[in-house]
Amino acid sequence: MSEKSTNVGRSARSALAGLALAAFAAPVAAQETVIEVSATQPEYFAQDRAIWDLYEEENPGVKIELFSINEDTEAAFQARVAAGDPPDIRGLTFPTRDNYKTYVNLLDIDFPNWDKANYDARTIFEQTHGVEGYAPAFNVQGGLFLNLIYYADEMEKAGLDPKSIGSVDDLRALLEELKAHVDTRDDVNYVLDIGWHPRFWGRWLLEAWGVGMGATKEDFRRLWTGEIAWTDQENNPMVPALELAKEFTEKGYFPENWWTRAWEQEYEASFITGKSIMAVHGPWLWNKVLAQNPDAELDGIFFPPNENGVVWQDATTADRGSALFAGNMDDPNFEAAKKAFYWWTSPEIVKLRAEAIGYLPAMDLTDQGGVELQNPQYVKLVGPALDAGEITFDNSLGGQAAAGPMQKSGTPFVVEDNAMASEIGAYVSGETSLEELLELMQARWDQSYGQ
Amino acid sequence: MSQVTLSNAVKRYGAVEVLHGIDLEIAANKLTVLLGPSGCGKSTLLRMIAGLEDISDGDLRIGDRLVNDVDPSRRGCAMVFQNYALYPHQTVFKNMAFPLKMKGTPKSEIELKVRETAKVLELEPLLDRLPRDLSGGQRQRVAMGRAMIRNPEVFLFDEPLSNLDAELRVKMRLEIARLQKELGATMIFVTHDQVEAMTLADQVVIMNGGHVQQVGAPLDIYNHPANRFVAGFIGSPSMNFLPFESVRNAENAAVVRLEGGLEIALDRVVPDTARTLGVRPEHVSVGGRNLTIPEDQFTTLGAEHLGDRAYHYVRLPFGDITILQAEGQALPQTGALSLGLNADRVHFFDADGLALGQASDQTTGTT
Amino acid sequence: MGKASTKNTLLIVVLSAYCLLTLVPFYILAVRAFTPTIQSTELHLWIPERRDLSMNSRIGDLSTIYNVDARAFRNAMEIKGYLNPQLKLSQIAEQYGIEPDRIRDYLEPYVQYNGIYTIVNNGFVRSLIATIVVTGASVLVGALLGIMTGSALAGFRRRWHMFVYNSYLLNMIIPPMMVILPQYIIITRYLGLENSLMSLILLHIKGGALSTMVFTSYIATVPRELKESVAMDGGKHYHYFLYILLPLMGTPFAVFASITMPWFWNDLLHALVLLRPDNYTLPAFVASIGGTFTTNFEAIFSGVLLSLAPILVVYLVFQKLFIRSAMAGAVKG
Repeated sequence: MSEKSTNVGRSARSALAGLALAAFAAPVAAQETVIEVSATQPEYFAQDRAIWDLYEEENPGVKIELFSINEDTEAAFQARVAAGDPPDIRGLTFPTRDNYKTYVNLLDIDFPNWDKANYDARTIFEQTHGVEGYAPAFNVQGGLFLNLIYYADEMEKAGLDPKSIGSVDDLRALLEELKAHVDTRDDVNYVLDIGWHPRFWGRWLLEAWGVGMGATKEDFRRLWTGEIAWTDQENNPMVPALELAKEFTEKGYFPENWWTRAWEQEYEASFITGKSIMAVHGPWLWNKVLAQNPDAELDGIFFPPNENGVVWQDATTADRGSALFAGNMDDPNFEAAKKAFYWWTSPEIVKLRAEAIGYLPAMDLTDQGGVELQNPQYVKLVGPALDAGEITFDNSLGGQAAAGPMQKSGTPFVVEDNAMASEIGAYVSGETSLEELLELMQARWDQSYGQ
Repeated sequence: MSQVTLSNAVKRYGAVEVLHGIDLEIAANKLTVLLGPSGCGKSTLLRMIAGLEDISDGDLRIGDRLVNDVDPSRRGCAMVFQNYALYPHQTVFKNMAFPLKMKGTPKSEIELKVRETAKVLELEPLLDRLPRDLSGGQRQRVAMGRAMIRNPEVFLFDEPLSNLDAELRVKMRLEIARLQKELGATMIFVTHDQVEAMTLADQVVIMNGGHVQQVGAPLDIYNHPANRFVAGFIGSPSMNFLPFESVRNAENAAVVRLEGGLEIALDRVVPDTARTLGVRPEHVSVGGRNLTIPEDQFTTLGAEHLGDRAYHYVRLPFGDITILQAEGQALPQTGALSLGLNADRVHFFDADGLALGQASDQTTGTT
Repeated sequence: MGKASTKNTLLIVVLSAYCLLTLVPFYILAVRAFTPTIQSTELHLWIPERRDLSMNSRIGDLSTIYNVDARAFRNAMEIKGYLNPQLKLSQIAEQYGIEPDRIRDYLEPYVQYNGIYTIVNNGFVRSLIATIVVTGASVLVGALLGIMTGSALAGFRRRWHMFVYNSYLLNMIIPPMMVILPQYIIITRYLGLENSLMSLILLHIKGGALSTMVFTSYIATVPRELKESVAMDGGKHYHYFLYILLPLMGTPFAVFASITMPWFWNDLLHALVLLRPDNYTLPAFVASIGGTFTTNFEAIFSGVLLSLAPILVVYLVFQKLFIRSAMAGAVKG
C-alpha cells in the first residue's frame, strides 16, 4: 500500500517535504510486507486476530494489519476506497450491482477454493444480482437460523416445556400459558420479546414464519419475482406470517408498540436483563446474554416446522463474504495479499474460523475431520436438530435474494426498510386492514421490481 | 541640536496634493508650534519630518543632512503621539527602555538611563506599572520619557495634550516648556489650540489648506497678522471684520463707508486697496465717536460674562461685531450706539485678504 | 438596599441552578462510564452494582462484548499457540494448567471497570497525544497564520485585501464532506502524508477565514501609532510583530482558540478517512470502539468522558487568559 506513488507524486512530495514536517510523516514501511485486512466484524476482531497470528507465524516477514469497520467508521472507509486507497482484504462485504467492480473478480484469478464450497459459489452473485461471470466475494458462512430462545430455568418455574412444541398451535398454547405466568410476575414484562429491525423483519422473520405456516421458499421466490401478486391474499405466502404477528400483538404476546422498540437498546436489553423469558433470536442475542451472564441457562427452539418437516434457513450468498480489492491488482504486494486471502478461505482455516465464531460453515470440511462447534446455540439447538434429522432445513435462495437481478438500481426493498415499521405497526394494531398493507407492498414492489 | 529646513516640500496622496510646496525653517533649540485648523496639513507635515510619511517633492533637511529617504529611526527625531502609543502590555520601565533595546544598548546602561530619565519626569515610583494603571498625565510623561531617552536632535509632539483635561493641560504645558528650557532641544509641537501655541511657542507656524500662512513669534502674529485668515484664527473671540465700500482719505484722517451706508471716521490714513477693516473686540469701546449706529440699525444678541469682563455681541446691517467691556458696563438700551475704535490697532485687508500697512513687513509665505 | 440584596440573591440562585442544570449531563455521562452496557437503557443516578466475573465466561464472548484483548490475555497467561475463543475460562484453567485466580485477577478489572479499561488498554493515551498534537499545532499555527494575514489585511485598505478575504470565506463555506476525496488524493498521493497527523493539521489550518476574520478585526483596533512608534524607536517590522502585536493578541487568540479547539478536537471525519487505527485521534478512536451488532456503551461513554476531561482543563486555562485579556485596557486612556 505504501509503495503507491507516481512520478508526479514523488516530485511534488520532495518539493513539499519541507512543509510536511518530517516528524509527523508516516514512518517509511520496513522491508516486511504489510497486508491490511478488515476484520469479519468488529465484534470478532479478537477471534480473527488470533487466527491471523497463525498466518504471521507461518509467514515470517508478513505483517497482517487487522482493523475493524463499524457503522460509524463505514462512511470514512468508503471514502478511502473511493479515493483509490483500499485495504488489501475486506473481511465482510455486501457486494451490490453498483459496487461489485470494486472487488477483484475471483473467477479471473487462480482462486483455489471454489469446489470446497457446498453451494455454487461461482455463480451465486449472478443468481442474486444478475451479473454474469463475476464473483466479487467468497462466503464461507452457512445461512443463519432463526429461533426462539428462552431462559430454561424460568420456563421450568412456569411449568412449561418449549421443547415439546411441534406445531404453531402448540406455540400458541405455550404463549397463552406463558402470558398467564408473566402476568403474575412483577419482574417480568413481556411474553415473547421482539423489536423492529428492517433486515430481521424484511429478509428473515416473515419468510421463516411463512415457511413454518405451510409455504415453501419457492412460494416466496415466486412472490418476489412477480409470479404471485402481493395483493393475492390466497396465495401470498407472507400473509399467514403477517396475520400471526397481528394475532400475537392483539393477544399481548408481543410487547406493546413493538415496532417502535429499538433492536439493541430496547428489545435485546430487556431480554438480557430478564424483563422477558422468551425472545425471537437474531444472529447475536445468544452470545450477548452469555457474555453478560455466563451462568444463564439459555435454550432455544426453532419456529415450528411445516407439515413436511421443513424449517427455514437463510441461503448462503456472496453477502458477508471476503473480497480482494480490484484497485490493488497492480500493487507490489498483491501476490502476497492473494496468498493470504487463499489461506483465509481455505478449508483448514475456515474450520478454525467457524469454530471460533460459531457458525455452520458453507464448506465441505470432511478433509479436516469436520467442524467441531462449541458455541451454545449450536450445542443446545442446531447440533441436536441436525443429529436427530427429523426436520430438514431449506437453505435455498430466499425471495428477496432471488429477485435481486430484477431490482432497479437505487430502489428500496419491499419490507427491509425502516419506513415499513409504522406500516406494519398500523396493520397489527388494527389501524389499517390487511388489504391496505398488501396494496402498499404491491406498490413498493412495482416501484422497485416492476416493469 | 539641529534646525529643520523644508524647501518646496510637497505631499501628495495619489492625485490629491495636501501640502503645497512648503518652505519653512524651524529654528534650532527652540520650541516651534505648528498651528492650524483640522485638515490644514500640520500633522502631515510633522509626520513627514518624522519619516512616517514620504516626501512627494522638495527637500527636508535636519541640521545639514538631507533626510528625504532616511529611515525614521535614523533621523534623530523622537515623537510623542496624540494617544501616546505606549505599548500596553509593557511596564513603564520597558516602554521607556524599548528604544534603547532596539539600539542594542547594554542592559546596565539601559537601567541607568531609564532611572535617570524617570527621575527627571518624576516617574520613578511608576516604573513597574502598566500603562493602563496610569493617569492621563502620567502616561503623557512616560511618552515623553520614551522620547527623551534617545537624546534626539528633534522632538516631535503631535497634539500631545488634547487627551488631557483642562487643568492637567496647563500643568503639562508648563512642564513641556520647562523641559524645553532644560534640554535646550529643538521641539516641534502640533496643535489646533491657539492658547497652547501662544503660551508655549518660541515660534508659531500658522497653517491652512496645505499652505504656511505666517511664521513668527506669538505676539507678533497676534498683533500683526499677515492676512485675514491669521487675523481671524488667532484671538478669541475672533477679530471683527467690517467690509467697506469706499474710503475718503484726507491728511491723517479718513472716512470709511461701510456696506449699508454707515461711516467710520478714523484719525489715520487708510491704504487705497483696503477692502476690509479688522479690529479685535478689545479695541472697540462703547461711547467713542468713530462709528455711530442709529437705534433702528442694530440689535444686541447677548453677552458672555467672564467675571471681570464681558463680550457683547451686536448685530449690524453688514454683520455681527463683538465688543469687550469691563464687567458691569452695559450697552445703552435706548438711542443710538456710538463706538470708538483704537486707530493704532485697526487692521486693513485688501480684496485677497492680505494685510496692508504696518503689518506687511511681517508677512511671509502667503500666496 | 434590602430590595437590591434580595434581587441579587435571587439572581445568584437562578444562575447557580442554571449552572448545575448544565452540568447534569456531564454527571450522567460520568455515571454511564461505569454502568454496564446491559443496564444502559435505564437512567442511573449512581454506579450500579455488577456481578463478579464468572469462570463460565467464554474468552471469545469477553473479547466480543467486553473488548478483552485476547492476544494480550494469551501473552499474560503465557499460553502458546492458538487459543480457541469458545473455551470457557474454567476450561482454559484446566487445559493450560493455570491457576483460576490468576485468570480471575487478570480479567476481573475488565468486567468491573470495563469502559475505562477498554479505553485505556486499547490506545487511549496514544490517541490523546495524537489529539493534543493535532489540536495544539492546528490552533497555534492557525493563529499565527491568522495574525500574519490579519496584520496584512487589517482595515481592508486595498481592493485585493477584500478579494483575498472573500476567497478565504468561500473556502470556509464549502462543506468538508464535498472535497474529502480530492483532499484525500492530494494528501496521500502528492504530499505523501498517508496516515500522518500532519495531514489533519494541514486541513485544519487551510483556508483561514475564521482566524483572518477574528484577527483582522482585532488588529484593526490596534492604533497604527504603535507601529509607527516602533519604527521611530528603531524597530523593524518583525520587532513590531514579535514584541508588540503578538503579545496583544491574547483576546482574539482566546476567541479563536475557544471556537476552533472543539472543532479540531472533535474532528471525526478527517481523522477516520486520513488516519489508520494506530494513529487515530480521540473521536475516531472512540468511534472505532463500537461493533456492528453490539455496542459497548460503557466503553463509548468512558471514551467520551476521558476525551472531555483534557479539553475541560484546557478550557479552564483559557478562561483565565480570556478574562485577563478582556480586562486589559485599550491603548487610549
